[in-house]
Amino acid sequence: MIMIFTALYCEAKPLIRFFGLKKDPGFIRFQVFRNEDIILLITKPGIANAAIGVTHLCSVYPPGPSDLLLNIGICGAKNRDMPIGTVYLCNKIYEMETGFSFYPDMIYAHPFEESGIATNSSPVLEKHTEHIPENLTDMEASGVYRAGMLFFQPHQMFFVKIVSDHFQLDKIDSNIVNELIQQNISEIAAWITRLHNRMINTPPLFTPDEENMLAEVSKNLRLTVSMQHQLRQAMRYYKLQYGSFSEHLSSFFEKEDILPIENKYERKKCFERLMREFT
Amino acid sequence: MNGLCGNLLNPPFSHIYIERDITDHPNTIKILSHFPKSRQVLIKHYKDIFCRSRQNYSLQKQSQNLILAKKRSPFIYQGSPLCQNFGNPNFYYANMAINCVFHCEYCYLQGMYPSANIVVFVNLEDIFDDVRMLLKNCPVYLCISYDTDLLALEKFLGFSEKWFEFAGFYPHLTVELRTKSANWSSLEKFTPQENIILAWTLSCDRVWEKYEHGTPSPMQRLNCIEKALAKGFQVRICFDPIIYIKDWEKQYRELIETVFLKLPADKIKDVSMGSFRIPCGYLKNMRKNKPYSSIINYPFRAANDVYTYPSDLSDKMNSYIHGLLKKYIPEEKIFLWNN
Ligand code: SF4
Repeated sequence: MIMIFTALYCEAKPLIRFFGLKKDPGFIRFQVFRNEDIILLITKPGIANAAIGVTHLCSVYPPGPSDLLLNIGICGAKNRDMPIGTVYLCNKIYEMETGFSFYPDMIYAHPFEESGIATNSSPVLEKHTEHIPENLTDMEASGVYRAGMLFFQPHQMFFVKIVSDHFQLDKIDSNIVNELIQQNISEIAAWITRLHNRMINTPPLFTPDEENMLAEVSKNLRLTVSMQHQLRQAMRYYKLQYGSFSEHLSSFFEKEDILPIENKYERKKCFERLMREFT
Repeated sequence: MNGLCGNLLNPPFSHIYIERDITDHPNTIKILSHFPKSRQVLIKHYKDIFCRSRQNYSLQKQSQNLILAKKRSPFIYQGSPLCQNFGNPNFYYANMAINCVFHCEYCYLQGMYPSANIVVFVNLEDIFDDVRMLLKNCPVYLCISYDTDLLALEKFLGFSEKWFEFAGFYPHLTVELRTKSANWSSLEKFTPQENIILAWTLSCDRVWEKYEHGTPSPMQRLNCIEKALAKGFQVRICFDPIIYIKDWEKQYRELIETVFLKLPADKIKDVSMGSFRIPCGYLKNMRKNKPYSSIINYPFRAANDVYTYPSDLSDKMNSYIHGLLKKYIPEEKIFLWNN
């Protein structure tokens, strides 16, 4: 699942169209749109709203290790040499109110520009730009990160921002925002989808049959909890080293003619033999 | 746990994080000059990025980034009881870098640190000052390449060279520089010092192939050691950790025979050996990071918060290898780590 968070409906609209998302009527407090692979929530502007939105969605749909978080939206740029419409992936998020910095992992290659971003809870005006320590500003990234890190690992979170202005807020409206996202959506979507498709969920090491076999051995030998842990660890090692343990384990019991176990002494002796055989 | 197939990752050191306080430090400037294409991100403190919670160590290892930081006190630490002191009572180690460009599956660093990114502390001069202070009281035996492989980083760090220069002034200081690298191009520029020991870890071919990813082969290391001995460097050979594998007797016998066929035994300063051991907490983290690594999933036995092979097995491995080594090296030059 890719979990997308935008602050505004006009930022979400091109994404909803592009991915063919449908409104999820199960959500009352937030607007949520989804298809099978993607779920999008509109947080409303501001750090607190962003954090609440992320927490809400992730509590309803707890993300797994192959899921991704994408915060996408517009941002202001301090320098005029950062043209309007440029897409940035943020490598640092500086929270203006607290002075805290957050760092998403920059592990994956991407086709965008990169920059740090400063998150402020109110819009930054042109006259205040000298106090901003990063080149970009927005109003949500730190809130998304703070909440996101409760549910995701740092390499699963991406902050994609498109320059909408150089702190002249009067020059942007929802149509412009819509247009800016629209212009870049195919590149952003292609990149995040390709990444998501390559995330693999690794299956558990033991198959259901192997789990049953271990449970049966534990029952037949009347193993203590600690012995069961040791048995699992030994079988884990054996399987990783030699590919499978089932046949060897079956033949061990046939050959050794151990069962039934009558007392603790027999159990201990048998368990020691078993551990020797498999390590 | 998840992985990522296909090559979607940034190349190593695509990003360099630099603490604000040391942006002008000469070592920072020198290191950065080696990576003109890397993106630089300014940070307040290296722990802000290195110690973030829930980092994916295995994934980071595939796309390591570099963090340049300032080491704050303490600069020197007491040696760990899990490490050999080679008969030196004043045994210390110093960290000027954390983490390694190589990837040995059994490496304790994976269990010790929350991130696989490499931290370099650029203020070497503060560590030197601390060593000078210590030397006022007693001779010092100092290991400088424990939580990293300093020689493997030499091309862009240049720290080993600085230690060679420093140690030349302090005869009561003995420095051990442990490595798995075969970086002769750096070493050949150094002047051998009586009090700097180059300690090479050697493993048998099977262990190298399966578990020591990215490291030079044992033969490449041996070629480098041969040149180092010929140039007059002090050389220690470390068969440590000894790893249990199916045909370990044959593998280690062949390794030891090859070593002493190639190297003049009388020129080797000493030899260390010891079977694999690791603090319990570290192994737990390592298994979480690498649940499919067979070597760290061996059912080790815990005693005093340290995991080791069962005592009968580690005794057997130690005495077998000790027996082999005795054929080539006087017993007093063989240092065996024992529980
Ligand atoms: S060479 Fe040493 S420090 Fe580097 S990964 Fe291997 S064991 Fe760890």
